[in-house]
Amino acid sequence: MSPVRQLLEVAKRDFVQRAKSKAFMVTTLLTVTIIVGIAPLLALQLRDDDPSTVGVLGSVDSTFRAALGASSDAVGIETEIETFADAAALEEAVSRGRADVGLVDDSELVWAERVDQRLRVAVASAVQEVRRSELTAELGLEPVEAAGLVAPPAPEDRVLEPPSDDELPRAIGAQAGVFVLYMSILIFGQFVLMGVMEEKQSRVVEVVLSRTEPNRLLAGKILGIGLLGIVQILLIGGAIILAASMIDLEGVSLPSLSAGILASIIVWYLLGYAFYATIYGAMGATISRQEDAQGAVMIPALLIIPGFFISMLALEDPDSMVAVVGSLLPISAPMVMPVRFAMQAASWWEMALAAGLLVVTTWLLVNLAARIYRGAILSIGAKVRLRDAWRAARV
Amino acid sequence: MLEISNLSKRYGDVVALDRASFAVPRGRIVGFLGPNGAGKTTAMRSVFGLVRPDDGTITWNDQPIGPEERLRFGYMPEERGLYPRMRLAEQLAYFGRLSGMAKADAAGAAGWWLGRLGLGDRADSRLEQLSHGNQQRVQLAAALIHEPELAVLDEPFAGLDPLGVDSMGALMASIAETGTSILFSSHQLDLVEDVCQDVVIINRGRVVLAGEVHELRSSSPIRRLELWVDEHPWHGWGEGNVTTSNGRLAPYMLVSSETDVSEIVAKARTEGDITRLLFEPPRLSDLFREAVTA
Repeated sequence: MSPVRQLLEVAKRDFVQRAKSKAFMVTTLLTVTIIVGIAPLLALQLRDDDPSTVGVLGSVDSTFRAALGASSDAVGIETEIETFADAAALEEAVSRGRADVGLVDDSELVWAERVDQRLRVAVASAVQEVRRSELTAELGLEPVEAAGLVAPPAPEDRVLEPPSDDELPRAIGAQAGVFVLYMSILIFGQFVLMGVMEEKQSRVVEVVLSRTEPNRLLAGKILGIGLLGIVQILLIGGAIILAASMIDLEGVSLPSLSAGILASIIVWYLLGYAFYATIYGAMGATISRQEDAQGAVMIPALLIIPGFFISMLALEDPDSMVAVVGSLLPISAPMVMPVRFAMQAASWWEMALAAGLLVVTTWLLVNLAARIYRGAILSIGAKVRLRDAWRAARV
Repeated sequence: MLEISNLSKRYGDVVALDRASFAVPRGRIVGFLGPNGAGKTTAMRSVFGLVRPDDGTITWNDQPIGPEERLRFGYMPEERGLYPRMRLAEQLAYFGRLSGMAKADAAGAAGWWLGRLGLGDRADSRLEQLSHGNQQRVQLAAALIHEPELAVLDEPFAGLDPLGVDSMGALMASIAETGTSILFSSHQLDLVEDVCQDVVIINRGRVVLAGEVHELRSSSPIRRLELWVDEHPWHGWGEGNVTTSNGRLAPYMLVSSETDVSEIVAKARTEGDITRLLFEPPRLSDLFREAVTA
């Protein structure tokens, strides 16, 4: 019987049994439901393009209408005008929310609870504009002269590196992706640790190891649980893309953008998971009781946390020194590099170097972890010290 | 045939095995007997590479044992354990496949074993839903699912009631008939006397006695004599009295096989009516006691 077939049998068992567990099904279903369910609410929140209603006393002339239109455009909002017969009716409309602001005699703005600054600027400038044109007409100035006098030309903006249209969606995609990746490594790494520990706890490990080698058992378990992780990432990633497509982000094609980010998240999840799951597996072999699991997850957790924080820094400035170094170091590369990739800040050779370093480190780690696993897996009871496990496995 | 030669293993200052040698011939049921801590489990684990002996060799049909050979063995460890939440049929089939069986064969064998153990209607139950005794039977099935050439069973009778011992013994006999060699351990020597054909008795890591059960018993120079006078065990012969571990006299005596029984009977008769008289080859526990005190 080939070692590979045994390894695959182990992987299949761990994949299927873990996938059928209530814990996995419930958390996956819940996460997907929340993401997809929250999207329409978020979309509603973001779609704030209902025109704001400006309540005005008496009749409205075309000058004010034109001035309000221009000033609303200038601050990026839409407005419409509604007229009221008397001040009481206007105030009533504002407090009931039928009008967003009430303009009384060009001298007072009435608000329901708090002042909407953009709307205030738009209405106030329109009032001032109307008043200004009245004054300049009284002075007998031509409109062009008046404009030059009261509002000299302002400096124009020139942006040296204008952000691409999709920078915001990219940042959001990178953030969501790295969060899913980070959580997946933590969750599925812990599944490996628990799986290894449970086999010791239930004593089944001796039955299994009478048929196969420790390295195959560990590798098969890491593979099976890792594949389940990919399934979950695809489900959650799909949910995020579906949710994102419900939220129209300034016309950028989210699905095509997200597919690239999702692909890179999966690649870096695989590399990062292999690295961390190996550590989790070795730590799991040193314990045989649930109570000891807390302590055993500390080492891998402490190693992975800095990478997550660096990835947040990289989101702010993907070209900073800490982001570049973090994206190359094996312990943080899986979290930082996808961010720099999504933000289009990583060159291909940086990605290749980071991946290469990670693969080599993982290979070294596998040998080290497998030895600790072999040395500790058959000693049931008290927590095994790493040094003792290392010595016990010497050939 | 499994051959173990000069196997030694120390754990720090503790000697688990001290140049232990014995063999398990094809189709034989070999009882591997001795008190707790004698080295039985260490020797059995060594067969599966779970313990790395300091010295000595283990061969199967004159070949060293590697991962391929081990797939033809079945092992039931002393510390029983299977996956608690896995369903019975699924679990047995998994161990079959892990030992190299094709998918359909493994599923078929799992069903057959569950039927044989009277658990045919529990195929979809989780292991943890079974009673302790039934879990132990499934454990045995897991060790034998792939029809191994050698079955190594560590304390298979532990925790079984007398009927359980009988049915386990019958099961082992029927498996041995198909050519499977069986090595099983026990610390209750007399309990398994009728089950095994050969015995290897081990004490403090050393093999102190080995051979065919009947042969060992009948060729022994001692006999067990049980003689009751007026419904009470009689110890008046003066020698051969056995003190049990709790400090009392055992209800029997161990005497030389050349002892003239009629002489003893005549003496006992002067003290009352003889109500019980047994003169027979020694039990395994007697042989063990003789061997370790000699």
